[in-house]
Amino acid sequence: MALDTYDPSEESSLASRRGGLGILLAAQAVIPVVLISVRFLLASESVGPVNQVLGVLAAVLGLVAAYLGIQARGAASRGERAGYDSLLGWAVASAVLSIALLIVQWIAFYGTGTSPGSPYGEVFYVMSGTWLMYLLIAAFVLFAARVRGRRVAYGPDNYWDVEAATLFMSFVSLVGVVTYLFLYLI
Amino acid sequence: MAPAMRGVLWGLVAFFVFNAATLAVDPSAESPYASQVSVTVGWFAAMIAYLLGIGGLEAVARPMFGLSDTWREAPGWRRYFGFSTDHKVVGLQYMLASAGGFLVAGLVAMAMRYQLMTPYLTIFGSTSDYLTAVGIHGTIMMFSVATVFMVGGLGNYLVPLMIGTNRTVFPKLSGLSVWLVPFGILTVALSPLLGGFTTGWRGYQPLAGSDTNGILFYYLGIVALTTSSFMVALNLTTTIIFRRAPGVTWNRLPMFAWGILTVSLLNLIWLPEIQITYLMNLAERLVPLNLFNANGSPAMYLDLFWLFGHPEVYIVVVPALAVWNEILPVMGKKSLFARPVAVLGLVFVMLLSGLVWAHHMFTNIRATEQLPFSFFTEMISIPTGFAYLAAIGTLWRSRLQVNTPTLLVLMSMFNFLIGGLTGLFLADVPINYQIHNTFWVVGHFHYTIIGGMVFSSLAAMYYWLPKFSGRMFNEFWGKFGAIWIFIAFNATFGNFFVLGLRGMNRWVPVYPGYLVPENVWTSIAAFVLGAGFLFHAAHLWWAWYRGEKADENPWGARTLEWQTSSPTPEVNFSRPPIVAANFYSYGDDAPPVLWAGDASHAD
Repeated sequence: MALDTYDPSEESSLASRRGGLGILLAAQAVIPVVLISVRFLLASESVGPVNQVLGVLAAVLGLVAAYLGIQARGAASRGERAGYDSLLGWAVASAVLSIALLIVQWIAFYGTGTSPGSPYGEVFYVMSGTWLMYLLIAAFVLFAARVRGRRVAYGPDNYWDVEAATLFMSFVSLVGVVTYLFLYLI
Repeated sequence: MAPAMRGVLWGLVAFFVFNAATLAVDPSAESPYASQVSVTVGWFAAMIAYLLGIGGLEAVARPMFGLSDTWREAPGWRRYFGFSTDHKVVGLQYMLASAGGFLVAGLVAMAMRYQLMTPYLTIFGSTSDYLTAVGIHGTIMMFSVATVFMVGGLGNYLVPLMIGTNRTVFPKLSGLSVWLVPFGILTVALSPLLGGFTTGWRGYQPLAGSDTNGILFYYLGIVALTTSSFMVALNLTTTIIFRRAPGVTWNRLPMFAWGILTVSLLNLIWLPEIQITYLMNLAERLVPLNLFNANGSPAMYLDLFWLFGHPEVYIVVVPALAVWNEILPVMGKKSLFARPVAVLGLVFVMLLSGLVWAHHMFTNIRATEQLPFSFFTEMISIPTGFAYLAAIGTLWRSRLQVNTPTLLVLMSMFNFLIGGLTGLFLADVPINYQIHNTFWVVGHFHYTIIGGMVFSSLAAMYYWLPKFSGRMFNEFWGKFGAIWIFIAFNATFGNFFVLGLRGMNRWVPVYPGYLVPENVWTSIAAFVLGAGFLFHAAHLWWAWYRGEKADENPWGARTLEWQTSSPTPEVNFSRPPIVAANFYSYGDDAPPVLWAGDASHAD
């Protein structure tokens, strides 16, 4: 084992942070698994009067935010200040739009007269609410990464904040896709 | 202003402001001062403000937005009352917070035992009040003591030292997480302000649905406490994987670090599971939903709770098993017997712990479902036995130094054996039907948790006291206290088995008169046990400040934490330790642990 594991260089420090974030995200994957189990135990395979278009758009916008974040990470690692600032801005906007669409879906679903206490109603609000909570956190960390980037210029040796925010957004976008599949389709 | 004071003040202000603001727009408010929603919103705001006030504002929030980190730790003892990134400070903060939880929950237990000296209500106004006490006792003990003391306290302090690093991977994470422990304890302890809760630490549905709003503080308190444990698990797992010193291979990883790694993996899997379950409970209460009530599926709640609840037992106990095999080779000056088997035991306990949960529900499930859970429950005793195998093999023909840590380890082994054997009865379905929800069950899990984890924690405190404080305890008083609590513990909880077999049910403050004499003796023994724990606390406190100066490595141990000066210096290792041999090889021909050219001792 190399000495740098004792007094970590920036590179091994980055590896340990990446590893830690990977462990965090793997642990968070337990939550969608639990929710999917609850969904089938309570509401079987029934699907309520949800708006498929809104669901698809919310999931796709999450993926777009993650894609833009990945591009921003690349720009940050090359020290392209204008590039990562703009890309992070669009990533935040996509995540916020995804949040807005989920809220619109909530209002539309409530408008159909389906009770929140009905089997599908409660799994709908719980699963989409969890998705919403993750999106809020992801939008916040992307926003924080952008603000930080304006004060502390990212570069080849300093882009962990963008990378962490992007990895989290990527995880959230997958949660969105899985939630859409199990809540709106299956 | 001290950071802790500032945190409390900001938390209080945030609670009142957000409670009032939510109340102003909440159409469901059932009182002019608070509603379920306003209290919940106020609590979350208070938690964030409190963490910012502790030091999170300067050390975490500002740097997150690109501003400079303006946090400066206070010097001396005052650093223990604020945010810190030093794993040793964080470890001691965890130990103190957890000990505070032990005191609060222990005093509640004393009140319960006082009540049970008579077969009718005395100090509790109603059965609900008694059940609230049971719930506060169980919740604080499980989530802030049993889960926290060894992993958050000893783990944060010792693991970086044992693997030869100066810091953890995410020091700010643990620096914040420790402050969630007192916050969570206070939240649960204050639940009577909202009416208390009658479900015990398990939050059983559909009973919880008919509880008063006190159940909110039960859910929220657990969210805070489990978040703290999750953050610790993440930090320590990452640190063990990525920050081991050269030569600390997986084959050489210290037993205690193995114990912490295995329970941290359990925490990483099961804490998110129970957190989302409690958040669903919270949503059920606030919206309201029908997830777990009679219109939903109460059985689903039982499954979700015990999916976490039984691994929780191993989260509590596995570090204790590791402590046995950490201390015995040192005190016996004999190489650890069958080390790979001992490690495999810890790992297989971790793996099997997720397959036994439904044995808590034998009375609720079909006969075809009982068999596999009965089978796996009995099977898990095999890897647990590996820890015994290693310990007993190490003890065999060793030159054992029977001092206070050794004595406490041997006592812990005896107690845990009784806990394990009585658990086998519960794993057997026909017997389980007869003794389900009796004091037998209570006796069984107190033997595993207090008998296993608390005795081992005390052993660890005495063993590592010279490392923590640079001072030595008094051997006579240490042994005296150990024998005191051993006798009182067995008199208390041994009686629980007798009470259970004679028909004493859990959860009842009112019981048949023929059980009075047994309950009176049990309560007296419990008071003596409580006094015994206070005695140990006082002795350790005295030894920490007034004990004799200890040698740097008074036990002649080989693990890395003893290769630095005692008490541990500010910087653990001034130079990288390079490990060249096994930590548990003793005898004249044992090679030196550190590479010959290494001089890692701090000045």
